[in-house]
Amino acid sequence: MMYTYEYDTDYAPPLPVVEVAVQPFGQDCEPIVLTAMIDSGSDGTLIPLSILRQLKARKTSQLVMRSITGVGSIVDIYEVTIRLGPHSFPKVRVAADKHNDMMIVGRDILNQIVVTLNGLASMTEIDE
Amino acid sequence: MGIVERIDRDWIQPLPLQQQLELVATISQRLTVILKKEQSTIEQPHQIQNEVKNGEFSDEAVEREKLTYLALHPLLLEKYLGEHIAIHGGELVDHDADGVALSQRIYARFPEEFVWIAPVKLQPVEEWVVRSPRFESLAG
Repeated sequence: MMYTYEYDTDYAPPLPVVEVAVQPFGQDCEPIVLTAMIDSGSDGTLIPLSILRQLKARKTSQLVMRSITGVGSIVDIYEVTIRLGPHSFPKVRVAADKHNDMMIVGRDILNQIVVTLNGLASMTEIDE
Repeated sequence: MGIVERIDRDWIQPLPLQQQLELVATISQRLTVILKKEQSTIEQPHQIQNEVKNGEFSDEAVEREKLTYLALHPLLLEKYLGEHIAIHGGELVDHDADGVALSQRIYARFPEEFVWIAPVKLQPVEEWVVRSPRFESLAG
């Protein structure tokens, strides 16, 4: 079975996105479903801080995040459970993003699944 | 490069100047308080209480365990490279190759207290790069 997600046409050119269900690690509460950008240029996954606070996710460490120009800043790391299509990731260390309101799925997750960016159909495809 | 230089390069220098100044002031105040105390009254690691502000762990708690992690890193590297470790109250409290199992144990054991949980990697300070230009603002 394949899960498909339409590209976000608010962006020009349209942006590959997926829907992701996020829960705080270790808690059996209702997940929050987020639209997330597919970003193979990101080492890790980022979630807006406001969402992490809403989820009451647990902060567990920090790291240095560098942008494309090499400038770094310290960011908090939280632990969450993520479901993406048919795939479940029980514990994902995600960075809190204070500046942007869209989740980013980075290579920590992308490298564990099959993702097809079907640009001709403007669809992100996730294989089972 | 020593641990102090690494901390300076990786954790202090990325901060804006104002935050660097505030950090220096905070450390100076802390050292002044410590130096004034009798050794017997200095808080022992196991006596550290929960520090939660507005539903989140305080920056002080995070900073304390982070500094312990950085100080312990050479030892952790020797014994637990590739594993996940947990630090609380200024000491290593648990480790496991299975990060999920470790977090489950730690959340149950310390439900209301900050615990530094991280994988042990070669570099003491973990780094992520986000190559999308729209995230330049992360540095601000």
